[in-house]
Amino acid sequence: MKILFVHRRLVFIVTMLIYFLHPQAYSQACCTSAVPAASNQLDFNREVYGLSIRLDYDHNFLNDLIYEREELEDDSRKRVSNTYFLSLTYMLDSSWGVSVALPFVDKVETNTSLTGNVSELRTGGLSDISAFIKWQNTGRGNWQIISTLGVKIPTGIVDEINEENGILYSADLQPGTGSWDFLFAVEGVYKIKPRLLFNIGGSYTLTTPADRFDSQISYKFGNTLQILMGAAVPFVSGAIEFLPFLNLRSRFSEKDQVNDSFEPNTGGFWLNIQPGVRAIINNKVMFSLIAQAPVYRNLTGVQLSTSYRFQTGVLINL
Amino acid sequence: MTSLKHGTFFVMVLLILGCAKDTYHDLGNRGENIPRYHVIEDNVNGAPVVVVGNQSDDLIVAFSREVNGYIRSFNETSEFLPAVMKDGYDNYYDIFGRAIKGPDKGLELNGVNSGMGFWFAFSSRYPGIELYDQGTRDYDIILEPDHDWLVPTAFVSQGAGFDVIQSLQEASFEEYDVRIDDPDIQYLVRDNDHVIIVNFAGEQRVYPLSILYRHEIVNDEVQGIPISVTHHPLTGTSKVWIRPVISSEESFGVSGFVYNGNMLAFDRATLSYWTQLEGLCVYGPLRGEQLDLIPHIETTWKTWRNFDRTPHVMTAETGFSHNYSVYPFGDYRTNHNAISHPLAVDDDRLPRKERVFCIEVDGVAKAYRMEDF
Repeated sequence: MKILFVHRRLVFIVTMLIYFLHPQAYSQACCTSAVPAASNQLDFNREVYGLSIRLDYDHNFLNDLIYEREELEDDSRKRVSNTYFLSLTYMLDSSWGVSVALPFVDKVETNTSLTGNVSELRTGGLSDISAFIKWQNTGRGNWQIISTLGVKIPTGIVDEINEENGILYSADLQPGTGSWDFLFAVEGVYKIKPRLLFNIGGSYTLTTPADRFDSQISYKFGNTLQILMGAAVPFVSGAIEFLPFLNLRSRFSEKDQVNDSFEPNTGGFWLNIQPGVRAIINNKVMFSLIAQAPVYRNLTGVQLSTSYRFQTGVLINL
Repeated sequence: MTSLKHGTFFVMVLLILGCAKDTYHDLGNRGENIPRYHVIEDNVNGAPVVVVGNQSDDLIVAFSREVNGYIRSFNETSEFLPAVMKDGYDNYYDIFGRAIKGPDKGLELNGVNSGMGFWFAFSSRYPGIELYDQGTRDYDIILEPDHDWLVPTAFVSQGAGFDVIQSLQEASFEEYDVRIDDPDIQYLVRDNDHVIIVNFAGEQRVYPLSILYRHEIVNDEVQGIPISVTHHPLTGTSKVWIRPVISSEESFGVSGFVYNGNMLAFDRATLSYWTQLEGLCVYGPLRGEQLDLIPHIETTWKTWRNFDRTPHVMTAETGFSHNYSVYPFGDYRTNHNAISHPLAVDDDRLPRKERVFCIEVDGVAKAYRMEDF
């Protein structure tokens, strides 16, 4: 196996993808499971201008019931969220690109009572579409910087009803959020050594309220701040360039709000570890696989939280 | 759901009391100021009731004025505690509606479905509710049930997840002796914290709302009889029910659903949904069934210590590590704009979060303000 320092631009791109190729990079997760939020997918390939297409799958399994920092011995509830993303990116030039992401989500919540009765709630459909503008520096220094500005458009379904009892599902179970959200992100990649890259980045999602129940109630998911830090070790094997990496991702979410009141059992701090690998073939096709597991959680009240998560995807430069 | 059923049951319950706990004392002998409890004789949906309370004590209770088929007249008294009112036959009654002195000593008045709560909770549940001394208000709204519910689903919403708010399956109690001034053994309940007092089957128990804020339902057992003590923080309402049978399968949990913002409990045996305010099953295999309500008192810890010098108080040993000394909902109790769920009616005659006392008889309700006492 030959270990080479891959082309700087490609490393830069791929490294950027480490962070941004998380389909639910800005998703909230209260007792709820990730509500699909702005998918910050800025896949572009500076080597090839024009259009690229990407397909991603995100699987989020929530079975940990957390009270503040303590995991409760309670296996009675779980939620599984599967999200499928179709993303299109167009490079305008070597610095600027635009992207749009279409998510489709399927959620299942299962609750088991003390007597063994199981109730299952399922929702699914189009979630909120996101659009992004990205800029990156074109210099040849050791630092590569990417910044992103995006908007999440409330196109997703927000009025799914439980067919069994006729009740509107809660906001966090709906495929969409009904709200316009705005995000800003910046990430930097630093070449420590030819075979060692360091990346650090942050993002902030500003949420807005969405009306429910004929505008009698407005629901606002909490604003979210995320910080990511990691390292990657690129190497080449045959015609494939590999980029294994390890990240620590922290997320702080404010409590959700209903009208003027903060919702209990929402918001908190999560610290996750994210190992992953990307494989790039001929600079045209890229595969990725990312896992995520919790390291530390300090949540508000009692919340259902992610036990594990993984994402996989393929990007094709057209 | 009928007041008659409730009234009949209340008589049975009160008869069971038998040798009820008697910790009464005559505060008058101690020279302390004896608060005058104000008495209101009234009618709710044609049922004669007496409402007695004291604003500074933050305590209001209500009883039926009908005794053995006859309507009695009641007046207030400040002669001695624990007597809060007397009737036309010189019987003195305590806060539980028991004659503690007079020719009918031992007589127990029938209770009525009543309790404290936020104004918005009652005014949305009973549109146009009569407000004492102010009358009713007309609302052009018909609450038609649908989708196999006994209530309109447009006002049923999901707050927390199903069974996420963990009800308690048992409770432990300790005797608190007010004569001990050692600050090291101060209980978790503070003077101005609210408590629920249940006098049932010969026992008197105190349930701090500080615990119920976190769990909403305490499934307890008194003299072998299963009861559920409930409090919903979002509506500020409390109710106590008899549970059908003794078993964990029959205990109640918090469904996470609310109707007009008020808790819908579920029973673990059938997963049916029950309203808190009436104990009525509105969805599920037991739809239409009615729980038997037990009278309760809600007041401050400080007030209750004046009535009971050795109260049996529920402890914080629940098996959970919650910090019960902290109210978990921020400024919710005083923020009139903080409404989390759709309401059938948003009645602006009073501020939404004003605590009022509400009596319900056969689906018709009447509210009383603290300032009326």
